[in-house]
Amino acid sequence: MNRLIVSAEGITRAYHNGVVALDNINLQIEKGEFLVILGPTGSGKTTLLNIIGGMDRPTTGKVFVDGTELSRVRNLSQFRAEKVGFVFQLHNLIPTLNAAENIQLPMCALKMASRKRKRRALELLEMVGLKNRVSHTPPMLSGGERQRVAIARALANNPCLVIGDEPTGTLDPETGREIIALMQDLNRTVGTTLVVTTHDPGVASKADRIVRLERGSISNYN
Amino acid sequence: MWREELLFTLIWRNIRARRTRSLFTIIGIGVSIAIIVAVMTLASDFKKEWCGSIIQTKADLIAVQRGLTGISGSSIDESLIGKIESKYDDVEHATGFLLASLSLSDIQALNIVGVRPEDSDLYIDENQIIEGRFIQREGEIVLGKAAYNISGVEVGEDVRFQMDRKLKLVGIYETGNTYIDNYAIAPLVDVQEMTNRQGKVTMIALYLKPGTKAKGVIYAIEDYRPDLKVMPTPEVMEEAIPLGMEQVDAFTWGLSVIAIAMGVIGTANTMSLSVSERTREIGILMAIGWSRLKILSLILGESLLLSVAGFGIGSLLGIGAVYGITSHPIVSGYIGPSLDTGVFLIALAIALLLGLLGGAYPAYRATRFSPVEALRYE
Ligand SMILES: Nc1ncnc2c1ncn2[C@@H]1O[C@H](COP(=O)(O)OP(=O)(O)OP(=O)(O)O)[C@@H](O)[C@H]1O
Ligand SMILES: [Mg+2]
Repeated sequence: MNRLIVSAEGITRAYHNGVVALDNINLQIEKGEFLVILGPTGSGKTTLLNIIGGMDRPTTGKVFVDGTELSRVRNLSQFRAEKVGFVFQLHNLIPTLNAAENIQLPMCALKMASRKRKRRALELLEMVGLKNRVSHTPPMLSGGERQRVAIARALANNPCLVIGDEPTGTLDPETGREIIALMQDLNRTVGTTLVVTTHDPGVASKADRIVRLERGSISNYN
Repeated sequence: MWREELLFTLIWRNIRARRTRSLFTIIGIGVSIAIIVAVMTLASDFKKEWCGSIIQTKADLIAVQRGLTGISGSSIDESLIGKIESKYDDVEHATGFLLASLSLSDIQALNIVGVRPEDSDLYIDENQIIEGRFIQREGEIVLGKAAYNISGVEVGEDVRFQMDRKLKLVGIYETGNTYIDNYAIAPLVDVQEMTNRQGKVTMIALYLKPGTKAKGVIYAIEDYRPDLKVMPTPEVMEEAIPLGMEQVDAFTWGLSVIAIAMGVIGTANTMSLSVSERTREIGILMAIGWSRLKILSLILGESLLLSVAGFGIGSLLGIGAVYGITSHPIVSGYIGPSLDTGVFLIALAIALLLGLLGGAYPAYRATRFSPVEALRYE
């Protein structure tokens, strides 16, 4: 059947101040793929991820995620909770909640029962190697550990797509590599489709495929 | 079942994480609630005590002058008492009371009820006399316990009024009704003389024969004397509430509205700060799929929790204030600290309203965030 998880057709995103952040983007992402979007700052990487992830709507063009055209989706927050996991660059976690509680937040959006949520959170923490950090709050965790928790949270509802906007951006190179290795590992074992933006060629080298973005356009496929 | 537990956890942690601000907000709401609890309790006590003072006459019906607000201005010919008593078979007994307020000195006033000495047992029971005896003839006076406490006069001495008038203190009574215990009782004739109202009474108290229907007597007397208004005693409480009572009500509500406004502004301020500080957090929650309804519940939940805590503190503060105020000698004669659950229910409702109103706009604003914008916010 359909092996495509994401299909973006002629995406343009213009802001009110006249900035065209994305200009006629066509992009297909296959199920299970680990795609890296590489590009200089201001090239439109975040804008593209936001549109693919159902957080922002394109000015023109269509986006299909897992067969659904996003402009037809009434309840985008429900859609995000079910289909997409997010890992951001910084301040991903709610500082007053501990690791396990942060991981439960997306499950909470799908009204999962408390006991089931807790069990799943522990499972995910074990998966990302933080079994012994269950009740640590973000201020007690290192930068790499926080990103691990964010990754676990992104996987909470078994999404078909995990999006990472410079997930290694603030980490030292060594930790950054570990995080990417973890994501790659999860991508292989769980089979989640992974789309990650980065400035870091080292990160990009791990990808199945690299897309280069420049001033809102895709400059080359790899 | 308990699916929203994480939402409550988040609300609670946020309150705890901003401990000082939360505490000040709770205290602010608490002060508002305390004002409301105290003022309402004092006002309702005042009313209750005042109404009780009329019930004390044990009369079945009370006649006052028609067309007046309150009863203090009422003036009826004393001669009517005898006429009514002899004219209506159903009336077993009738007597008159004259209410007056006299200056003892420049700063002290004394409320006096003038009664016929032979009818004194209709007002004060024998066993309510705690010292001395009741008035028996002209020139005597008895004081309520509270009035006695501030009078500085002992039994056997004279209570001196202005213009060289004096009455001999022969006894002290205590009824438990703080309003009456702040009164004095003196012979009708003396009170009439001191107030220049010879031959007049404020009200006529009617005692009916057992089994008599009050309605018939009311119609008959009001027909005979259209200038009189005759009411069953309990109704006098409502009808004859003096002008001051309405002002007490207006004052109560005025103060409550100010207190509510203060509380709403304080809560709205805290919640607005809380929302703008957590812009990114709210953006993350939205990104990972929390609905706008959930975000709304998060903010409103916090303001409601703060206001319920404020209600708790405010109730304690309010009770403290009521006890503090009523223990002061100047007011202790008029109001005793009696707490009414109704007041606390109203205060709880007001606290919840405060939380809702104060949280409404910040919560609404939070739901209008675009997750993209909120996540760009640093
Ligand atoms: N709300 C907005 N209004 C106007 N212009 C915007 C807005 N958001 C983004 N832009 C512009 O759109 C362009 C693309 O921004 P975007 O954040 O997608 O870039 P990026 O590739 O993610 O950059 P970086 O690597 O620095 O994160 C930039 O020129 C930016 O200034
Ligand atoms: Mg970016």
